[in-house]
Amino acid sequence: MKAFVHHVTLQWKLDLRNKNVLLPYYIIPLIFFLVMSAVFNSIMPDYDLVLIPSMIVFSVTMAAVLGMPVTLFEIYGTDVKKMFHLGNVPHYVPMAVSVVSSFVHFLTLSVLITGLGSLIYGASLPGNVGLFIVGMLGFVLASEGVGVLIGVFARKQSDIAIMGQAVFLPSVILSGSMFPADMLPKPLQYVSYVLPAALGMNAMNDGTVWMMLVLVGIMLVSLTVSFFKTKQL
Amino acid sequence: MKVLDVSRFSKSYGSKEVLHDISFSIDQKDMFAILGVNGAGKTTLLECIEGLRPFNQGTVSFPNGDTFGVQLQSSTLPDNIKVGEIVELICVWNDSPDKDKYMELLDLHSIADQAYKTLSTGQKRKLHLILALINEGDILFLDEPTAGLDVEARAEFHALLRKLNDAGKTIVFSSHDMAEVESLCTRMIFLKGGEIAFFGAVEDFKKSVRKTYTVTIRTEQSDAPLVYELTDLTNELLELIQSYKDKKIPIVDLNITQPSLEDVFLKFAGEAKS
Repeated sequence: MKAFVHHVTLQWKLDLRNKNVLLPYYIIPLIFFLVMSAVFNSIMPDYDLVLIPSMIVFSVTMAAVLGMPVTLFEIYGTDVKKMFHLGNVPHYVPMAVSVVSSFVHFLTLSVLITGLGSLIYGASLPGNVGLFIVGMLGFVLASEGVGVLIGVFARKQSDIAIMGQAVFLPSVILSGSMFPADMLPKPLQYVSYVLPAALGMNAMNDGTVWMMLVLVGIMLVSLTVSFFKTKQL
Repeated sequence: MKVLDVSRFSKSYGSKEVLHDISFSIDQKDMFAILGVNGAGKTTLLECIEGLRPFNQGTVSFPNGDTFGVQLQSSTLPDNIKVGEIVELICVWNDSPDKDKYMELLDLHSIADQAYKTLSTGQKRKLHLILALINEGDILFLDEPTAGLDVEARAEFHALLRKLNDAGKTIVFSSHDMAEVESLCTRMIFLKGGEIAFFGAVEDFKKSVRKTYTVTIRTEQSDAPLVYELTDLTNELLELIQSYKDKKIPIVDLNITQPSLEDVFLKFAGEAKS
């Protein structure tokens, strides 16, 4: 346990030193948040009601599917995994460490968005704050699960961009974070039910038990599949 | 006492068999070399022994326990990790409290705060050797450990390997540097065409083609030296000298050389290619 905690702390510091991680984890999401919140606020009168969950969905999805796989690929896509194996680091540890470390980053990002959204744009939290927090945690964990899958299944660097964008773009469009999801055609609304972004958006605004179960299910399935995948690498 | 026993080992990539029926053993305190031309399968053999690759047939056993350290040929680490951090991390995972002991072995303190991506080739090699030592294994596997090192770093490396060997560690390494093998190793295998062409003492490897001596003679009448290959030094050399005497050609210089390990390697490699 001591080794795991030490590893998590180190990974957290390494993430902050890695510009390929720092950009999608903090810099781009926060710039997007600051600019687009002003834009959406001016063109959509009631946007302040959904600004915080919308921007959390956009930012965490970007960080999880475009940033998190980079740190995992640096290990599982290269001979670093052999180095760790030879150093007696269990195969699943870099994955688990990345999940914990990124969880802290994503929560920090979400708190920043919540605080700045309220302060700068007068955005309000959804009615039930407890439900909002639970929905946010479930969404962050499910997004991490998807990020881990991309990171351990990518065989080359370019796979990360392709797989990441294949998840990120539909997530942003179908989640309802940019415009109300009920404006989408029905078939696309059904597709959105399997995307953590869409589920997360709904869970934070108006969460139901089944949404939370699906989010937790996505995380568990993703991490289980990734656990066995890292064993084979 | 045997510390590693490889028996009837075979490894294929798809339908192509790259190593066939390999058997050899390594004794405690051996400084053991794995030689062969590029593509002979040295790295594949080492990585199969280390458990990093599966193999098709045979057995690899460690009669004395299977704790060993490994320095890979293509060792790498995350770009932004610092030297001190990775040494500490591997120490923590191996329950080794004495990070400083390892940092001092090859004077890593001076580069403790440097990120991995800023290290020179030599510094990276030093770091990977130290990481390989942390689990305190009885055997140390090194895949071309001194490739890319300058003379000073190589000498420092050799000194540490000798020190470790003297302290009881068995060292197994592949190398292209024949002078290195000649000066460090006691026993070796030579891989040729996916099989072991030689297994035994380094001295015996040299002797295996030592029957040929190169005799270079300079005379007053010749501008360039005359070179002869002799197999029976006692009789043939006397006959050669006698022939000069008979022709009344004075010899001004005579030099006899035995093949170096590099010559033997090239001979074996040449046979491998043909």
